[in-house]
Amino acid sequence: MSVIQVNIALTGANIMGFLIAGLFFFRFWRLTHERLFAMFTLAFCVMALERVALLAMGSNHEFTPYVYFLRLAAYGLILVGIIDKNRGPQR
Amino acid sequence: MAALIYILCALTSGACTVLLLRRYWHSRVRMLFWSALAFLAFALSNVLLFIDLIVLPQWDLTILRSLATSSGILLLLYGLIITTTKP
Amino acid sequence: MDGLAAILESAAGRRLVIGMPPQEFLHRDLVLFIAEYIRSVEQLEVLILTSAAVPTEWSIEAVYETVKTNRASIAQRLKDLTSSGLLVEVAGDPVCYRFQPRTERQRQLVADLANAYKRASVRVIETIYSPATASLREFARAFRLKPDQPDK
Repeated sequence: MSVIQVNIALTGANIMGFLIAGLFFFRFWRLTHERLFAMFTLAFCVMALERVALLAMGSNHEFTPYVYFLRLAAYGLILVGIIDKNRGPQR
Repeated sequence: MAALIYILCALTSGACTVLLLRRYWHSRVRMLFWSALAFLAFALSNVLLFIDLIVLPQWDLTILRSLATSSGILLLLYGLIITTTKP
Repeated sequence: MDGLAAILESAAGRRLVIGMPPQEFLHRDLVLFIAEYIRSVEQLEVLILTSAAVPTEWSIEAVYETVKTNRASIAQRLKDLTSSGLLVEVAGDPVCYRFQPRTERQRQLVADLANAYKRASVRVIETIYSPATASLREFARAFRLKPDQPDK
C-alpha cells in the first residue's frame, strides 16, 4: 500500500469515528437538554466534514489551506459551548 | 495566519483536556479520564499539523497526524461506550 | 426528562442502561428526580433534613448540627437547592432556608425520596452516582470554569 492509500484509509476511519462521536453527543443532548452537548455534536460533525473536504481536494489543491478554517470552526463551536456554559442562567 | 488557526485549534483541544482532567481529579468519573486523553490526542494532532505545515514543510507528517487523530477517536469512543453500557 | 425515561424503559429489554432499574419505592419518577436535582449524598441529606415538617426554617448552623460535613459546603448545597427551586431563602440574620417546592408533585417526590432513603439508602446512593447520569453531569460540569458556581 502506498502512503496515500494508507492516509485515505485512516482518514475514512476518522470521518466515521467523528460521526459516531457526534451521534453520542447528540444522544446526550436529547437526554439532558444541555446546550454544551449540542455544541459538541456540531463540532464533531464539522470535524468530519473537514476531513471529507480534505479527502475530496487532495493535499495539493489551492484551496486546501482554507479547509482548516472548518477545523477552526469546529473548535470555535466548542469554545462557544464553553462560554455559553459559563454565562447566563446555570443549566 | 494559517499558523494562527493551527495554534488556536491546538490550544482549544488542550483547554478541553485540562478542564476534563481537572473535573476528573475532583469526581473520579472514568468517562472524563478517557475524554481528557482523547482531547490530548486531538491536541497532539493539531500540534503535529502546525509542525507539518509550518515548521517542517519538507517532511510529510500526514500519516502521523491521522494516527494521532485516530487514537483520540478510539479513546473518546471507548469512554463514551463504557459510560452508556452496563458490563 | 423524557429522554432519561426512555432510556430507563429500554434497560429492561436491552443491556444499554443509564441509571438504576426502578424498584418498588424507588420508582421511575423518583429516579428521574434524583438525576435532575441530586448531585451528592450531602445534598440529598440537606434536602431531606430541610423538608421535614418541623422546624420549617433552617440556618446553615442548624443544618450543620445534623449533617456534619463542613459549613462551607452545606452553605453551597443550600444555595444550589434554592437555585433549583426546592428551597427559598429567608432573609435575616442568620440567613435561613425553607423548603418550598414549586409544585405539589415535587413536594411528594421529596417525601418519597426521604422514604426511599430511609428504607434503602444504598440503592438511593447508587442511583445518585450511577455511571451515565454521573458521567454526563460531570462532563458538563467540567466545562464550568469557576469552581464555586452553583450546581443545577
